[in-house]
Amino acid sequence: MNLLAQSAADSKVILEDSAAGFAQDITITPPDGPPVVVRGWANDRAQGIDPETGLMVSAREASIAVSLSTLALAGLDVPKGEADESQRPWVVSFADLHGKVRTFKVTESNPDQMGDLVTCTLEVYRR
Amino acid sequence: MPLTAQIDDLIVDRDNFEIIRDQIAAILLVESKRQQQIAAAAGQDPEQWRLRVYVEASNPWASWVGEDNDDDARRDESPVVNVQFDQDEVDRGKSNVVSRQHHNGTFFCDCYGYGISTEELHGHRRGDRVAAFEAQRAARLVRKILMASHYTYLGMQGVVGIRMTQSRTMFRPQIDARTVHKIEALRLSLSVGFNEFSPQVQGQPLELISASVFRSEVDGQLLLRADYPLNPNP
Repeated sequence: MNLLAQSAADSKVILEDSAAGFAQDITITPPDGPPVVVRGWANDRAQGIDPETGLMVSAREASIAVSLSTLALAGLDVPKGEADESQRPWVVSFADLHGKVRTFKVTESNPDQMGDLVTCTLEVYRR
Repeated sequence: MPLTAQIDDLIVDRDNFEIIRDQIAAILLVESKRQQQIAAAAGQDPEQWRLRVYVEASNPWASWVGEDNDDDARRDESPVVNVQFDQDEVDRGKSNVVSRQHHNGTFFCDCYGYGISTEELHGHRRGDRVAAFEAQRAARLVRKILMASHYTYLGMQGVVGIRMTQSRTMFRPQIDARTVHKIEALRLSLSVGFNEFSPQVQGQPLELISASVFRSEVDGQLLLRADYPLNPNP
């Protein structure tokens, strides 16, 4: 196994290690299919942003990172943002540390084909 | 030569730029309330005319980004308007060095709109579009209210000489700051020409003069009779 393959394998292990790592169950619902549960990293935190009005404000940022090969095994395409309002978006939900489940839609995805992972940026979604 | 204080009166009055800033906010608030009443009487949704008005707020959209503001927590999503004083400069041609200075100032009315992406029967509603539309709707109300003929002088005739919308600019968060809440802002700049006044020297009476005005019975000419008490031994 060369370093590239080793790196991809390590990435998958790290992303999906829920016993000793940061991984957790993430429910991904494609626009035209049933929800699928995969393991990956989820992030939902506050950060300062500059809206260019001269005032820094605090806002939330959420994202997930999952293995591309895991998505393929689950029969899912790579999630992507959906700007067309006549279409359903990719929807993601996961629980926080207190067990509260939060639901988001995918606004942007950044797949790393060589690293075997995709990072999706999220925003709050109401159903 | 030692310098001694000359102003004996306590300076308590606010400058007019402060009063105008607060006046702009007050106008927006009362007219928004009135519009809601009119809308309700007309059978329309009054929420479409509701503005939440702040003055010099450093984080006016804080209520939208709290931890509980999530997909299952509905908060007040009415547009926010933050009125701020930006800057002004003196027009020397319209000022004097003693008592009155004419300033041309700029006041910001930053209109913030909030949008959450929402599932609909067919497709979904994008939060970014909703946020932009909300900000622009708020700016529409702000401009129409402030430029209404009722407020030509912002209710401060004698202080305000002119008010005029100057520009409208949309603000969007930086490209690398993608957030879960979609908030967009539109800055409406309002230019205001106004007078500022300053403490004045209070004069001391030097001589008392009594005068009477008469109308001549002959030709109606006005006559003035005055008594000037003179000191015979100056």
